[in-house]
Amino acid sequence: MKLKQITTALLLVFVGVSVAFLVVKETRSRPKNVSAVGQGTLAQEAAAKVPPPQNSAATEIPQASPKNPRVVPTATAAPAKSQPSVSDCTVVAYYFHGNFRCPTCRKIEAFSREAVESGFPEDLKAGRIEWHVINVEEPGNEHFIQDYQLFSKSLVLVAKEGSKQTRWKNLQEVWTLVGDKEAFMKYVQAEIRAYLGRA
Amino acid sequence: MADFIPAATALWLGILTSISPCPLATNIAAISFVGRRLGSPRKVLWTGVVYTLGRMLTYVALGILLVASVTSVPLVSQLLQKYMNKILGPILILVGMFLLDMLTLSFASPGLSEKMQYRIGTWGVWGAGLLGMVFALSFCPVSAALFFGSLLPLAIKYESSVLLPSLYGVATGLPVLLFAILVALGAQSLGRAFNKLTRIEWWARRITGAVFVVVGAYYSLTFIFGVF
Repeated sequence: MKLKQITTALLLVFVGVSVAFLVVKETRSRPKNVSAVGQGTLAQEAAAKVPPPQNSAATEIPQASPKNPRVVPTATAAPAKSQPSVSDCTVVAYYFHGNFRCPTCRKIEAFSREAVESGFPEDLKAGRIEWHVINVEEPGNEHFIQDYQLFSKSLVLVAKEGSKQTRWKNLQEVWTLVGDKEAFMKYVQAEIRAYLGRA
Repeated sequence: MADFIPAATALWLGILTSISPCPLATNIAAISFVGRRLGSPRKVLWTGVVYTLGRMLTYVALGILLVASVTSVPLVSQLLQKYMNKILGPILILVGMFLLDMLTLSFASPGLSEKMQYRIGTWGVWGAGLLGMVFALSFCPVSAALFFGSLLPLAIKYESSVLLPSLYGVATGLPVLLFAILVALGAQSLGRAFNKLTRIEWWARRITGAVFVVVGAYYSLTFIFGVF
C-alpha cells in the first residue's frame, strides 16, 4: 500500500514538473520568437518585392550560418571563401528539421546528404550545389516554414540565377521512399539533375 | 476506376502512417486500452471501432478545415507537431494513474458514485473515441508528412475533404481495429480455457495503466525534456 502511495506521489510530482518545465520553456522562448517572427516577416516582405519566390533564402543563409552551428555547408560545398555566398551557386539543397529529431528524419537527412555528395562531387566543389541543414525552430529561421510551405521535416531544392531565387520544390516523396535507399537516391539525384538543367 | 485510385492511395497512406515506427508508442497504448476488457469481446470490438472512428473524425475535421484554407496548412502542421506531443505525456500519465486506481474520483453522495461507476464503465468505449482523436492529433514527423504533405494535396486535387480523409483515418486505426477483432474472436476461448476472466481483466487493466504511464513518461522525456 505504501509503495502505491509513493509511486502515486512520484508520478504526480513528475507530471507537475513536466507541466511547469513546459510552461517555463514556452514563456521564456516567447520573447525570442517575437523578434524572430519580426525578422522572418521582414525577409518575406523583402522577398515579396521581387517575384517570383525570391532571394529571401539567399539573403537569409549568410545571416543564419554563423549563429547556427547546424547550418552545415558540406565540407566541399562551401569553398573557403571569406564570405560563404549562396548567391553564386545554381542549386541549394536544404534539409529542414525541428528540435525533435526522429530516427526516420535522421535517415532522410543522411540519405539526402549522401545523394548530393555522391552524385554531384564536382558540382559541390565548383559551388554549383550547396547543402544546408537548418533547424526551423531556432530564432530567425521560422520564416522558412511559410517560405517553403514546410509541414514536416523536409528536403527542399531551390534553383537560382545569380542571387535571385527562381523556383523551389519540396521533395515530398522522400517520406514514401525512405524504406528503399536505392530508389530514394535515384529520386533525389534525378530532381537535382532536373534543377541543374541536365534532366 | 478514376475514383478508385485516390481512394486506394488514401488507404495506403493511412496504412503507411499506422505501421511507421513513430506512432508505435501511441498504437501500443491504444491496443492495451482497447484490449483491457477481455471479459466482454463485444466491448473490445466496439472500443476498437469507436477508437478508429475517433481518428477518422479528427482527420475529416482537419480535412474540411484545411481544404478550405490551404495557406494555413504548414502553420497548423507545425503547431500540432510542436505542442500536441508535449501535452500528451502528462495526459497519458494521468489516464494511466486512473486505470491503476492511483487516482480516484470521489463523490459526496454514494448513489451518485454508483451511477458514476456505471458511467465510467461505459466511458471506456466512448473514451476510446476521445483517445483516437487525441492520438490522431499528435502528429509525428512521418504522419505529418503523409497527412499534410500527401493526403491533403490529394483531397484538394479531388475536392474530397470528407471521403479521402475518412479512408486515411480508418487505415491509420487498422492495427488497433484488427487487434480488437482478433481479441473479440479469441477472448472467449481464452477465457474458457483459463476460466478466470475476472482475474485476467484485473491484470489487463493494470497492464494498460502501466503502459499508459510508461508511454506518457516516454513522451514527456522526449518532447518536454528532450532526453531522447
